[in-house]
Amino acid sequence: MAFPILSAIIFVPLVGGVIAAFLPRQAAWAWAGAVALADLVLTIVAALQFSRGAGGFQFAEHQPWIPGLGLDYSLGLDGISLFLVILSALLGVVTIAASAPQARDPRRAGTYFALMLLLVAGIQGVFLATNVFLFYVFWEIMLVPAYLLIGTFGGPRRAAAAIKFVIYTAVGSLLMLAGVIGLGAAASNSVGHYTLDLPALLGHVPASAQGVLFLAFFAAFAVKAPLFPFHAWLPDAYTEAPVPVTVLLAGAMSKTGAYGFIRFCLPLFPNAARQAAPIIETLAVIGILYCAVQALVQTDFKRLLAYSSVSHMGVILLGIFALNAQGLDGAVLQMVNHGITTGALFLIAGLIATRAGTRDIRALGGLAVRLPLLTAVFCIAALSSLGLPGLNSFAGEFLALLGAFRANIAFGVLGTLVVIPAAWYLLRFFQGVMEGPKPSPAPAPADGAEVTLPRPPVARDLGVGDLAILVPLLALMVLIGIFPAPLPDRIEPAVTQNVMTTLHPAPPALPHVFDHR
Amino acid sequence: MAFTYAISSGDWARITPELALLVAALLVMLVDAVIPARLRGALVLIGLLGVLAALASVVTLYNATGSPGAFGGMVTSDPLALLTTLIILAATGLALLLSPGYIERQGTRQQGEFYALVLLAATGMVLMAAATNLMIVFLGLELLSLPLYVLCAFAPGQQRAQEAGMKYFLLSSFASGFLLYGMALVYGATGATNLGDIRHFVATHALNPATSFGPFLIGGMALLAVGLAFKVSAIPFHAWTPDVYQGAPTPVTALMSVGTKTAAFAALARIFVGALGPVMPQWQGIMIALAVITMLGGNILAATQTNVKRMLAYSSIAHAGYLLIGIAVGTPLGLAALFYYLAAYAVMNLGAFGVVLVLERVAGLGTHLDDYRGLAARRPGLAAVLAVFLFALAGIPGTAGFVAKYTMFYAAVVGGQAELTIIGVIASMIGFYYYLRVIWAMYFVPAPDMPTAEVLAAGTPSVSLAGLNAAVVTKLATTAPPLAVGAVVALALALIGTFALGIIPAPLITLARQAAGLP
Repeated sequence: MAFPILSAIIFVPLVGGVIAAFLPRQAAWAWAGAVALADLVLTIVAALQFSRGAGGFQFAEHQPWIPGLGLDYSLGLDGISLFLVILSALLGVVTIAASAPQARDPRRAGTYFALMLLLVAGIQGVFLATNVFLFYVFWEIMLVPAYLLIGTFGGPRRAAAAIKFVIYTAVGSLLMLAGVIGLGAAASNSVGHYTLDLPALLGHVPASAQGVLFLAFFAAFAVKAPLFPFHAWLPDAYTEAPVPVTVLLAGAMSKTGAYGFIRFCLPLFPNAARQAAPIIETLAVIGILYCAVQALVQTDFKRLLAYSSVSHMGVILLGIFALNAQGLDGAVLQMVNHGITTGALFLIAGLIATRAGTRDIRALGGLAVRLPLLTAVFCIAALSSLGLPGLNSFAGEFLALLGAFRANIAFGVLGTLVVIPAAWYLLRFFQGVMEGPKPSPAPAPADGAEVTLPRPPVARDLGVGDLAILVPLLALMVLIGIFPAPLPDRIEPAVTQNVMTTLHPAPPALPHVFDHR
Repeated sequence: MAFTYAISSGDWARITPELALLVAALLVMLVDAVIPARLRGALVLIGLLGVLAALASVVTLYNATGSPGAFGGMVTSDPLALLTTLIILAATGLALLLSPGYIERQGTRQQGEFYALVLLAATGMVLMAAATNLMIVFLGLELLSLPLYVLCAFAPGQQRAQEAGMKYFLLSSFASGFLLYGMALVYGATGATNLGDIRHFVATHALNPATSFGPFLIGGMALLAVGLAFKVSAIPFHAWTPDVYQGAPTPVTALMSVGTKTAAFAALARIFVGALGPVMPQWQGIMIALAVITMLGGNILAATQTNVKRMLAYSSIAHAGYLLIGIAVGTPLGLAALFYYLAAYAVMNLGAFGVVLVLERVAGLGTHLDDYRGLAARRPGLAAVLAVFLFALAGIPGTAGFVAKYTMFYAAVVGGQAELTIIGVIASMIGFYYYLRVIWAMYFVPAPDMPTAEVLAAGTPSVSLAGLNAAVVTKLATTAPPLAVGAVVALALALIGTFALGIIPAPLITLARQAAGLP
């Protein structure tokens, strides 16, 4: 039997996390970094061996797990999950490297790094599972470390944020549990036996059951993605969580929701997906604009980024529910880009906050003079988020919106409008913090007490350590921006084979948007 | 009719688990009378040996050939009896391991009686699970109830425990009366007390109120349902549970919440799904209604509690609701899910009660949610262990609780009762809230300052501290109780069980399917 590389991608951080819990603080940090790096190496090895033209699942593993219930341990990697797995491993390394403040906590550092690695393991499991039951197992396992990380290590209102997060997600995922059980039962007549293996189920869900099952899965994915109006937990969770946790939540975990739509909702319940698409597209557009406007009026820049993240996730959902190949390709591509860009922005926000001692935009100004490197890095990340051609997000958002235009011109136009407030709030953030005059020494914002951090202002530019964390992300932004072809090259066949074939029984020919051959 | 029946040695072999427990109980009492007081702590070892011997005999019986029935169809050692016996023995063993440190801290002198009564109660539970005759069901029920009446009140000078014992005695005897009356009516209707004969009768006679036996049988079923619903603490027959569970010594609560429930569910499965299976339409509606209100009510009431021990009492009511799905579905798959759930519930619930017990101080202090604040900082190991058990009870994958819930909901969907799955899922959402609230207190809230003697005296008027020196109370209440060896072993076993059943559930699922008569 070949080396089970997909299992290794999940279980290296899982076992490594359990071990980290028992290590003293410095050792825990080094160990966690090494484990995350090993995971990244594994994903890259998998990517190098990945055969790019194939659309089916590669490196597939299959073991019977629970007899009599059709529950198997099945993993597989295709073009849709490939880059998300690499992204999660990369963000795992980045966030653990960026966890210096948490590593200084003498008593809880071991717990912190254990939970971070468990979260990475859960996310990888979600992306790799090809059995619906196994997917659900990892889906729920993600919840535990995320809850504990937000609640234990977060800001002043962490407990409320953690409870809110867990209630929203638990309601969604328990509905999915009912859906998972019902899915097997509904399909068992057509399949011939009770199974929850995704490939076996495709095309076997009777039309009469699709509506209810779609809703059950939709509940979980819509909360996690998040889709407006199920996003209310997110600004609090992202704001209160410590910076590395926020990066992991916004960069990697939020992708699991969108991934669930692509992997399960569309191919398993095509009729229901087609019926629900206009409603979800409407919600996505509302979410894009609403959250952009929310981002405009925030004074806490971490909260601003949280709303911005939701707003941009809306573009991804718009692409998914365009239900055509361009939209889906673009959505997958943009999920990767969004992870890189949002991760970088939250990291930069954390760096600014530790230097300035506050997250209040009104209390800041003129940092560019003192922190030129940080300003430059921030500028690149902000431009990437705006979708500047030549940087990563352009290709993804372009394709996703192109898909939306093809599906319905109104949604395309409305979705494209997102660019205007996106530019506005990011410029407001950038200008408010980096440029302009230094604010008067005694800014007294009404709610400033909540966002003021204990650390005194220190005017120190990025060190080597900070750059080592940020430069890989920036390099990827530029690299993907200039040379995006390798991604859609691998995403397209998987989208065609694993999603489009059941979504539209006769798939339309794909126009080659990227002339790479 | 004249009975001629000779008891063979094979009959005795079929009830070796019961005999092992009984002998251990008698030995404990005998040895207790002769050894010096300072050595009485060692009596628990006799009890544990008895449990181990019973476990060994269960394994032997699993491999035994021939008809499992014994004593003329009075008891059996079929897979159902053996699996439920295993669960009861696990619960008894863990409760015994948890006991010594606890009763020492609570200042109880009569250790010998305590262990002997625990073993006798376990004997009754095993007997009830193995009974294939209504008379033996009742015998087992009484044999488990009588020692528990005493055990509930086994905390000298503590009003709450006295109240628990009295309450349990009164309400439980009332329920026993219902049960016995129900048995009498069923006997009157069918002319048999043997479950196999009852099944034969109801399968071959059309049941309707016009026939002479119809009203008797329906009345008997209703009374049996009430009696057993009381024992599994299903709503609306649950009112005794919170008070008794909170007031009784914690090892007893742990044993009761798992052992009694397992025995009573075994009887429910044998009597309703087994003997009365042919008339399922007559009782299925009642069981579905019981399951629904128990799931929803138990979870909603648990969410309002501020005392962790009491919250776990309501949580055990809620879990009785999930367990009732297995009966209400009435299929072999439902029974298999029921038995798996019972085993999973045993390890995670005993684990949770075990941590509560370790943290509990004299006179029930230290069980309030506020006492758990900042526990993660003070005792990180215990907090982490309790977090695992609570996540398991909430049904997080990777733990026993998730597989249990999944198999149960699966059985409901496949059995054509999808609405029970929906309601179970909704109830589980409420469950999430209160289990995670304890984790919230342990991890997210900083530890309060240690309470002073004045605060203790003023803040807990309901707890009787009469007869205890105020300084002693303060010391006991403010110093962290040490971990006894037995408690460490018990918690470790429960932890291993919780993870093992969640990660490699296949062996136990096989046993559960076997117990339910599935291939």
